[in-house]
Amino acid sequence: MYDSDIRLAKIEVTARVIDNIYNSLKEDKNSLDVIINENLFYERKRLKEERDNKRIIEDKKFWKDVNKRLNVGNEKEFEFILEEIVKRYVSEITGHFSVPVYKFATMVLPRALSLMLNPLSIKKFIEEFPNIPSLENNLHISGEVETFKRLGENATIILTPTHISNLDSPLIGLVIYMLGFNPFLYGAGLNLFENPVFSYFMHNLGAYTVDRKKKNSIYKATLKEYSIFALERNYHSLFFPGGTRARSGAVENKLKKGLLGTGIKAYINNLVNNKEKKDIFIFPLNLSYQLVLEAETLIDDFLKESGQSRYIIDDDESSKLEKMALFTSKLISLDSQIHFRIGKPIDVFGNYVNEEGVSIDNRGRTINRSDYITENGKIVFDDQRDAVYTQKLANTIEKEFHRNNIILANNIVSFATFEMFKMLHPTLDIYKLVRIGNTFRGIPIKKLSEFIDSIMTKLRNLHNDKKIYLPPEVIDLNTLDIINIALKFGSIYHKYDYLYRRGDKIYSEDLSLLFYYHNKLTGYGLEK
Amino acid sequence: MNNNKSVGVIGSGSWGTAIAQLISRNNYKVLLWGRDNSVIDDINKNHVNSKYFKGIKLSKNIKATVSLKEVAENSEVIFMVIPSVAFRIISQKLGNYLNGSHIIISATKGIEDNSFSPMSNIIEEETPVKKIGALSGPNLSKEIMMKHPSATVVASDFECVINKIKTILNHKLFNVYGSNDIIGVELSGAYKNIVAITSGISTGKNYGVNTFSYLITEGMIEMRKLGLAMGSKEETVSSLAGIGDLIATCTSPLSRNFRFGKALGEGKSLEDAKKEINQTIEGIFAVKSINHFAKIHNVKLPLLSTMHNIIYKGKEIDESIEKLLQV
Repeated sequence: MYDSDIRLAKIEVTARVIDNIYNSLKEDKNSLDVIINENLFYERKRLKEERDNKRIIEDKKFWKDVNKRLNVGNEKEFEFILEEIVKRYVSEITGHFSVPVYKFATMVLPRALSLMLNPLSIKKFIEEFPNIPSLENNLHISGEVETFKRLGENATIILTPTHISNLDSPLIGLVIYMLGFNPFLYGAGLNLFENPVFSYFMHNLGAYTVDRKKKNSIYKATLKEYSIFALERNYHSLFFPGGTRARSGAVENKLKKGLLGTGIKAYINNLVNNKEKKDIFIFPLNLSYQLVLEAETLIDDFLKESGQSRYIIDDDESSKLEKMALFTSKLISLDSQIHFRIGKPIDVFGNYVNEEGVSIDNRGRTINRSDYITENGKIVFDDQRDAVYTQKLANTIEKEFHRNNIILANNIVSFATFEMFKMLHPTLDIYKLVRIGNTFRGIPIKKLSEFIDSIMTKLRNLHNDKKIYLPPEVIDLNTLDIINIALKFGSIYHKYDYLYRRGDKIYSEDLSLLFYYHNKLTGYGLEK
Repeated sequence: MNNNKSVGVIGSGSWGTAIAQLISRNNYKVLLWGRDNSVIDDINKNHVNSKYFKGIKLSKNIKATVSLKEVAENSEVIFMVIPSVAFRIISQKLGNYLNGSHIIISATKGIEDNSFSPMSNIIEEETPVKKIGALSGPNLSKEIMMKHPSATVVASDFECVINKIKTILNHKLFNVYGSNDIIGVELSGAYKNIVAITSGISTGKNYGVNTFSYLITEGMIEMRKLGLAMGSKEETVSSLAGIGDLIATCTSPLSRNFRFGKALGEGKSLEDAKKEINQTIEGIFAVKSINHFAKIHNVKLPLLSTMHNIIYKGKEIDESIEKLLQV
């Protein structure tokens, strides 16, 4: 966000959050001290679980003071406390956009990232900087690219990607740059700001902080109001609607509606204020990697007993430098391509939008969007109604995620191998199945090839019907090539080989990982 | 709601006419759409629908029309009360005149044959409308026309839709309850038609109260089982839209599904029984659709299988019911 807007945001967002709280007090017949107490409770609970650092110590001091003042205060004092809490959150959340930092980053970052992906020494990097191939060569962008560019000029865009890895956000940042846009506003996890270098770039390139450990209502309201404000000011934004990295490896299907719902609020405010750029369009984005940096940690977390999995993981492979280096060098040495597929644009009510920015229904009829929120020509405000529209939007995004799911060779072979393995043990559930380990006796390549043949026939049909996406380097491959590519990726990076060949059979040393890469193809009726 | 606007009702059959009459009791103007010109003339000139309700006067607030456009342009709220077989095509045509401000309520208790879509899905697929609801309950149209006290359930994801329908339909003789379990309400509405055929068979066979009670209890258990498997709420089965509608349809000779079952029970062939009723029997389509749902959700529903065997596989009624008892 530009400095002028930041100053305005601090005033405007604070005022709106406080107004909303007072309005809800009237409706719920609640008192302000009860609301503050409730927020105090959640904040103290969070702080008890946090490790001490400068930020946490300051937080503890602040909330201790709130507690003290609540106990002796009066209504006027409660109002002061509320204002302080909201202002504190707004300051914490607000990001900043620096033109010089952006210019520097766009010049250096693509090649710096390329350096990470190439086995070059720093000396050689400096010597050869102008000639170093940019990472851009490894990124493939397909789908509704032209519509994205066109609508991005006349409307505000919310980009909603699938979330696979912590590498997603810098890579998406690069894609946005390649498409000719300034950085999108992006709510990044507070933990990512702990690294000073990362934090410097994030803060100066438009990222705002999202602390997913804060569960209290005032924080959530402030975060949402900040996003609404930014959308109203026409800042293109990026939300990961899955909330967190997909644990199972499957395409996401239970999306979070919190930030997603800020789109409709901003749209309504734009209509009320008769803004020039009223429209807000959502573009789903599918990502796909041949290797997933944190796959082992993610699938292990998924397979933990119900209720034990962690929403926030901060000690995975992406936090270990040597693991990152190994991963990136393997990716490049294997000539791995990273795919991004932009889905069809959607309006805030869940309707598809055509390339002209016109909403259309399932029969191709044009829709006047404002009708959804008006009655007798007047705009009606209704939070419950808007929540249902946001659910419909989430449903359409899920549909697009499913339709644009990018399938690579290792997904196909992992799927076939795991499914055949499952058939050998029909009585075992998934948890027992992945723990069989040593007793996995392998699948004969001949039988596997036959199964892959039938899967490929179905996949090609699905691709032609636009129900899944096979990239050009996959669609025409023969079965043997598909197996060979998958084997190359199956035995080079992860601790254990999740796919390898011995004699005329395919084996796996890590059935959990095999299951992870397999899961991308679930939900298409490809099982035997 | 803007008082200059009418409330639309699509379908001038018995239930559509009864809904129009219900709405008119609260002094709303009603635009009732139908295809049959003689029915339209009868309503507009004589204020009766003698095809279905001989001798019962309709409110003068009801105006009949053959124009879907007229209904859409003059109504913010529209009730769809047409057989499930025609639901998609009429929705598609009506959809040409609708926009996002409209509210559409399905009062059709059925599932579309072949696509297995509930009516609310069809509205969403064929029109630009999102504010959709479903109406269901123990509402035999003849009793409503005779002003007997009754109640119903309107289900929608949107609270504003529920509130609006309550305003339109609530009356001292007709109470409207709200629910947000739209799939549960639609599924119960379709399932009870199957149970009604079964109870009709039992009556036609003179099986007595024991068999009758067994069949409707089994029907209710299966309705609950399938509902839960498909994500509906448990309490919907015990509501007016579940058990309430089940009791009404399974016990009243006014129910066409019941009468169809009774004719089968009396030994008439499938075709003769259909001819005797001479109206849409939603339960026949529902057997096929619900059987499909049971398969994909892997739920065992013995009563449903029995009806599927009788209606779609031509199995003997006595033998099928004996088999059901052995499950």
